[in-house]
Amino acid sequence: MELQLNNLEPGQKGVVVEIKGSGATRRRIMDMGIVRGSLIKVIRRAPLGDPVEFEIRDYNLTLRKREAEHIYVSVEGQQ
Amino acid sequence: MVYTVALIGNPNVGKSVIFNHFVPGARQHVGNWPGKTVEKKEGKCVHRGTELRIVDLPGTYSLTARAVDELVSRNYLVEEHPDVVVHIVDASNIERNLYFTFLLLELEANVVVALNMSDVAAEKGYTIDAKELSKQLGVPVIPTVATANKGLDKLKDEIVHAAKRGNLSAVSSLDYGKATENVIDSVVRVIKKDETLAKYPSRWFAIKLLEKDDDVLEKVKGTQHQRDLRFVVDNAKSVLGDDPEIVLADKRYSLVSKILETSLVKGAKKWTVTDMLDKVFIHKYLGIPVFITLFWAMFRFAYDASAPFMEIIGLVFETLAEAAAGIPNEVLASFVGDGIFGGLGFILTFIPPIFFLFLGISLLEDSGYLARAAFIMDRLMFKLGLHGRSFIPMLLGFGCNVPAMMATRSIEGEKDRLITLLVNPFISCGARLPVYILIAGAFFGAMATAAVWSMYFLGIVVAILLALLLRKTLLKGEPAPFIMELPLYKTPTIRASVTHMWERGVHFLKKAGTYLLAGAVILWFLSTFPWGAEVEMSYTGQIGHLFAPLFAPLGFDWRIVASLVFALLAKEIAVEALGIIYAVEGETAIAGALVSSYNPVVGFTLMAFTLLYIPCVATIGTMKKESGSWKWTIFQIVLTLVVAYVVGLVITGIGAMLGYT
Amino acid sequence: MGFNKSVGMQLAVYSTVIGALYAVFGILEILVGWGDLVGTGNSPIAPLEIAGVNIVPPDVFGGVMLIIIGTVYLTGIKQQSKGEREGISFLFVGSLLAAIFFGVYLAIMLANGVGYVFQFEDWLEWIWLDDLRPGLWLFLTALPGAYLAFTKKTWRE
Repeated sequence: MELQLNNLEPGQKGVVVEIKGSGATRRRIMDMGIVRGSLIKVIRRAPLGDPVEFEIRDYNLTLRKREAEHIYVSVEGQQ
Repeated sequence: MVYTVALIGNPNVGKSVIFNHFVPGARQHVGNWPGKTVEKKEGKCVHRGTELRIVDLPGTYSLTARAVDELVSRNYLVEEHPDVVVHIVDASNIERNLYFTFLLLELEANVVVALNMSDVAAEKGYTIDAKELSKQLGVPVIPTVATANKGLDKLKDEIVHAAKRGNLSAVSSLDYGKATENVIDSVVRVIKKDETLAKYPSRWFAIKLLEKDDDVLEKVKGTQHQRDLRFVVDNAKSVLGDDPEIVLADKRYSLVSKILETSLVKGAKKWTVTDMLDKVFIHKYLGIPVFITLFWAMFRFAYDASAPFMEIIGLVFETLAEAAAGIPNEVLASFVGDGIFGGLGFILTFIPPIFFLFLGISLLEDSGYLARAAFIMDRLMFKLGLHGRSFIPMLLGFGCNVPAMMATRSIEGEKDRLITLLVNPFISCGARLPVYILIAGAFFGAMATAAVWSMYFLGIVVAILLALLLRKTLLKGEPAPFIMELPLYKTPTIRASVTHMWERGVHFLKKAGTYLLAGAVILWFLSTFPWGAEVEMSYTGQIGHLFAPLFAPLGFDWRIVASLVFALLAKEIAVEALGIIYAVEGETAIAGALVSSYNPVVGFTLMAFTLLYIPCVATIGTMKKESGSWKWTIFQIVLTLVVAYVVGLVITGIGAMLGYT
Repeated sequence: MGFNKSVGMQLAVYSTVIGALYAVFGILEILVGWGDLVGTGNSPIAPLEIAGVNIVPPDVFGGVMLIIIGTVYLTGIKQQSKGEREGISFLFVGSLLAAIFFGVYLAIMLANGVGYVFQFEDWLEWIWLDDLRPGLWLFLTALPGAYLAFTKKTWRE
């Protein structure tokens, strides 16, 4: 199932399928290691609900939901 | 022969530690906050008879033309051709770091990889085969632990070796797959035909062109093969099936994965100290309370533990000022005693709390906590049109606006930073408290505490409203994205943090010191000349009289205006200045004089005005230094004056409705 | 992953005691200091003194901080009692905060000592017992937990 990254719950994992958007933000997202095929896991949300902490390539990265929106991931085995 | 060696790498990989090791004289701040080094630093060192010029480039995640610091590094590499480029890699984060190595290899740099933080990587369960990695990348790879001084001599050996042997041109190790390589080649062929573009590494230039890099596109403009290039580049998307920028990032990362297949073994995932700390520090309910306790502890430390040291500095300057009274020439005695020692003494008593605040912030920063603080507070700040990283400077403002404004340096977005600088003085600092306490105590009796609290509240509200207003008008736009690494926690060492505090403090004194001294002397001049005149006839008194009509709507007479002029040095001087003007001594007497001359509304207006009008001399100096612009510094002065006046009018108006005139 | 359940129960009991101590003294500091905060001077309870020494200083904000530290300790007990290693986090951070407050209060006490030595105006009547706050001596009770949490063996294996 394909979802936008901001819709994943903490603990869920997905494989990046596509990165929409453009410009500096998209480039920065890719520079940080989020490219097609990479596995990304939601660790937790900030206490106020946004931004969100992710695990990618064995390190921890934060994105606001509005930035995560551009990232489409495929998620296996929905509960 | 002096070889030039550039240090480069992602933020937070121990680059500054290595630089400090290479060039011990040139102390540079080492921070655990991604995106720290903004300026380019350099120094010289000699290794086994070979002289090296070490250049420390800004820590960045990429080399695009979209961020100033990235462009600085890139232009340096392309135009200055350093003999060796040392890429410092965080071994515990090797995947993302190798991506950057590829960016350097694309640039055809003579790369030496320092595989730093090998200890952290080992703790994470990583076993990295440096030899295999070196073979795959085609460049030397040296494992190091900079903080423990391990492997650094070997790194230097390798740097010297690489400098002497010249560039290996390891470009051949980069293979982005047949289709991509074909497209790159077709661009390269056109570039090679063009004389003006021949000076750039052709493969790199082709890749950047495909990525539609602004800076490179600019360079192509007007060249003879511009149209051919455009044609090839425009075609690339259909040939590759996707935006070349995406394809290239994909290819680099898949190449990284391929290389690591043979050179990296990951052990079982361990539960680290960072996991443990973040469990509570970013806890859904405990995160914010814990944040509050940390900063509250820092403020207690900065204020209560520094109080006696403030007295000591005060005592030193008092003694000096008294000694200066012995100078035979009266005017000179006053200049040295009251002007220099008196004025500086007043400002410098703030040094202990400022230094203590710096120490606290250094500890939090070096540990890695500040990145979390920004993460926790981003939602709130975003609503105000700011970035999470703006929160700490705002909070520090309650202590002193000077370190607060210096802390804005970690804010990436230029507009985000400018807004934070501009509204910071509205956050009520410690020096304003004595003024509130005196006035509130004089006018409001049992309500005094509430009146003091209301000032803090007013400051916050004004800062928020102006931040929103600036975001909608002069500094339009959105806060920078929050694409930030949460680094692993490190145990901060007292030694490193004290050094760090000292550097910041001395830096502040050196830079702001000139403005402080100038400010102190000017204010001394205004208040003591014409020589021998009474306060009322001094220039300050005359200024008071001159502007009194302007402030009459607020209920201020010349005395208040004059005391506000005095208070530019440091806001708490307002109290002392009122004492001088009313020729009374002691706070009770000053309070009495105020009550007999003004009504409570004027008192409240004066409190609000003290909060909001022109920040002190030290803050103006810091604003000039941090914004690097007189224009914005003057704008801030005007802005604060206007805001203070308008708020004063509103308070007076409300007072009039309540029957106070 | 976890650890021995009986060790977990011991940790949970310990955390409960320390957490409750911090929270109780935090509440007392608030009750004693409330009058000063609102400016009326009337607090719900009078300062608690033993032999002329203030055991609980009037300090509303300081009290809130102690309560937060207590809460951090208390939040971990459920997971600790189940033997889940995540529960150790709260003991760890609780101890860390307790240590930070100990350090800050100690620094303040020492600094005030400097003021006393110089005989500055505000320190003429200062005695070191004035600065002996709950945040300072409660840390002694938190020490064993801090030791346990900081030595990795208990939770790494």
